[in-house]
Amino acid sequence: MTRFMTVRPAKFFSFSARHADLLTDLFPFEKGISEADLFEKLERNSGEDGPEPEHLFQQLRQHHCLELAPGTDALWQLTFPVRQLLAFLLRKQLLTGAAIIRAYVAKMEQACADLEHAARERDAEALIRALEELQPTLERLRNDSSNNRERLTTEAIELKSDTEQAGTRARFTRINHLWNRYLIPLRDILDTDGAMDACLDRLRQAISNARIVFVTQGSLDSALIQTQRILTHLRRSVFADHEECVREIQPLYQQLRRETRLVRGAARALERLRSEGWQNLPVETWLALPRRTHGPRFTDIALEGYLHGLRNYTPTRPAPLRDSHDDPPVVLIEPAALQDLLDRQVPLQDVLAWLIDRYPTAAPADILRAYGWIIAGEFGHAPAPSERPVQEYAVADIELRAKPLTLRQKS
Amino acid sequence: MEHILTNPKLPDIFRLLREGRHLCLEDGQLYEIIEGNASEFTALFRSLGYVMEHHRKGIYYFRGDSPVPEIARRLAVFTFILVEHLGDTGQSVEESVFTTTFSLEDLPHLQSERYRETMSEVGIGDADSLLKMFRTAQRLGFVELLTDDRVQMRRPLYRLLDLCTRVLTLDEESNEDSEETV
Repeated sequence: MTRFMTVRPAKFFSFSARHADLLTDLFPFEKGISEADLFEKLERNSGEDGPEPEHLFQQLRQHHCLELAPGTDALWQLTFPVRQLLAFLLRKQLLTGAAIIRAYVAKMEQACADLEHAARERDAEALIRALEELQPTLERLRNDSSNNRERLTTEAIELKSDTEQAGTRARFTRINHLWNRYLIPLRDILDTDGAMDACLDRLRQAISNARIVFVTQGSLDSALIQTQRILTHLRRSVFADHEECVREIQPLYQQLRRETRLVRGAARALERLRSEGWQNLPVETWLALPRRTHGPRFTDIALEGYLHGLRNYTPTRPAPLRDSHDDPPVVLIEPAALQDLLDRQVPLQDVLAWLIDRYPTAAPADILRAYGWIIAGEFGHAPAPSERPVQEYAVADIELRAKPLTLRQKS
Repeated sequence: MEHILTNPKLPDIFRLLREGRHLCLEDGQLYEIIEGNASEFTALFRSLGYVMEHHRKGIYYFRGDSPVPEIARRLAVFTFILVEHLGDTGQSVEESVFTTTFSLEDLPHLQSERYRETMSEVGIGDADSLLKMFRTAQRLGFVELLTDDRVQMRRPLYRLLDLCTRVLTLDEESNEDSEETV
């Protein structure tokens, strides 16, 4: 591989500024671009007054912007530092996955163990080494977390706006990949009581303990304080970055997931119809649309409702009928019972008065009927008119006038 | 329940629901009356032998007990084709369905051969029969025909969109069952 001279930063940035569009054009070719396509771009970017494509090609190489893609001899790619710089500027940084974050956590845990050891042994040099190893890790973690936030936000914006290029399913595939590859695993690491949280707590404690041990050594204490500040800032920013990523991606993920399910469901339904017919698609049952009916109906819905309410009515036994005067029940005069009574009561001085008195609740007709039996001698006793004048007899609400009749025993 | 029995809109509400109409926010006062007295209406209609259902997207409708296959199938096929088509264009399906005014002649249903075949199997072979289907759909509250040529989907169409996810869910359940069997 040809080695080129070192490039001064001013020269590099001056060249990059002149050819920013070309560099941005080359950025998407992660896996490399063919020489033919490359020169086509160089020609387009050169313009009429610009350098010749071949000269521009050499300048790109001299300024460490372009190199052969590894493992090929016909593909060209941007060099890694230039690529990273452009990724940062375009907010298209490489995403850091959970595996790398776990590796950072492992390194921090190792540094934590080293700090604890240095404090126990009161070894200032060991402490300095531990801090020197820890600080870059913290910085890379903070940087990667921020890059993730930038990149995922960019992805979300592009997916929301780029609706003409990709179908729903393609967009969902992309967001599903981001959700499951980056966000969910990171959430597990960053969750409270997760690996990251525990590690940061332990580091904080280790630094606090080390400060106690090395409190008299000003420079060490300053380094520990600085690391403590970086740690505090890191904790806040990593969690905030992740929350922001979830806020950007989750609604779009859920929306595209639902939309994809709609589209997939529709496609599947059409496929089923084609191959199986309506056999396993009972849409009429699922929709259950009412059948239009014709014919007489209650037009008065209130009345209909009332009538249906009557279905719930539980009948109770009717109240018994009662006489309006609250009179006691009527007693009928039985001939046999009257016979028996007369046999024990004769002689009687006034048969009618006796009957009324003996049967106070009997109806007037029953009293007169019984009086008639006695006068007719049906019970064997001999009735005879008395010497007393006509008497008045009250029977229920009737007044009777009659000469009193006596009754002698049977002969 | 006294107050809903005396509501002057009750006969209209009952008639529309009985005819299969799906009532939603776009139906204004009728919807508001039901929404404000949903449990009373449910009880009243139940006493008359009708089951009023509520869809999570704010739709009230009667559940029929004698399925109407022809209409249901036409509406289902219409929805499946519309959703698949919108998905392929990359647009947001839900947003497009409810915010777009569709021109009947621009709809995909009678344009591609595959879609024409599927539509003809449910008795829709030309623009006239498609329009007739839309008239039925309008009566049921799924769409609004702005003119004879332009149609707007209404909220109750969510019931038809649900058919799409239901098919997929059935498929997934069926695949799980067969995996368990294996």
